[in-house]
Amino acid sequence: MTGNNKTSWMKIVIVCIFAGMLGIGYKWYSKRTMVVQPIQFNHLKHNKLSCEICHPGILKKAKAGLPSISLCANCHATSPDLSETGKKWWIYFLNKDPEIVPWQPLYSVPKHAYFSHRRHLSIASKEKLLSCPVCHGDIHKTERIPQKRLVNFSMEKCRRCHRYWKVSTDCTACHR
Amino acid sequence: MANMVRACLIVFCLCFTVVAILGCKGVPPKEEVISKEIVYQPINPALSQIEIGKIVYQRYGCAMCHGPNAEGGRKNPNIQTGGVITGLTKVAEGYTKSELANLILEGIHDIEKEDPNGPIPPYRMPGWRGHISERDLTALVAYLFSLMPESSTDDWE
Repeated sequence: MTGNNKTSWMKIVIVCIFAGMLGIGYKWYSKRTMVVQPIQFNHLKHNKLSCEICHPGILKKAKAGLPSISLCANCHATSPDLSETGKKWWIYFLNKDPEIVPWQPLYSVPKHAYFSHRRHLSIASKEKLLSCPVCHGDIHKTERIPQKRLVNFSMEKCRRCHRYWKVSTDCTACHR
Repeated sequence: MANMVRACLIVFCLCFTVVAILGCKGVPPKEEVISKEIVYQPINPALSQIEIGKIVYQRYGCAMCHGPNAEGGRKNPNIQTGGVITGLTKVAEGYTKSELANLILEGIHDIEKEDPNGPIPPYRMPGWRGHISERDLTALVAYLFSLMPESSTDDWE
């Protein structure tokens, strides 16, 4: 192998190893970004309830909102999670501040984007254009809160829907 | 020999490149199966009060404890009503409309135990004050009153 050939091959090898390490690193990072909740919740057992009982903002506000433990305690006199850990966390959250549970949002939009649940649920759902599973997947059928989104949404997905239903795709309609 | 080493190196590098591409794009996504079912829809205001009340009964989770047709029967261990949650088909016998509305708004926080030394019944009647609108409450009460079997009134005569 001549010196020049050797150098070229070495460069290719180094680039490929570097690219491989990037890929492995990305996989590791994405595992670390899984969302873990302080309390587990079974949507399947509760899906007879309207979504707005626990997510009261879906018809009235931009953000859907997440329930406080005092809402859960409205129906549950004792810890619904019968494991020792579950019972311990139930008492802890009730005593600490029943209005706050440190839920980790599974779905959120970037700060530079504006999304209104009110507009999408109140207005679009009247025409049967949109319902919760379109953006959130079949979360109402899950027995545990998923650690990753069930549906990947992106700006392009929003734009596709807006284009299809002939709704504004102007940048300023959604971006601050 | 040199060619073999070069060939091995090429294969090795190709493998790394494939890992890199897969790592960046992720495993090719399965086709997203998104349920088309309408999970939520506003109540049609053109419906009758009893029809709206029936929808409210489902939406507020009343059916989860009192049964899909208000027949009751869900287990609530050690509750005074024989360990099961009561039905609602005869609430018109025991309550006026305003009493029933008040009960729905306030709920019952402390459930009476059948065995005072036994465990706390796990489910209580929730209070819906601040959550239920006036329209929904009126419709729900009207629906529950409509469940009264007609023949029951004859028993009093």
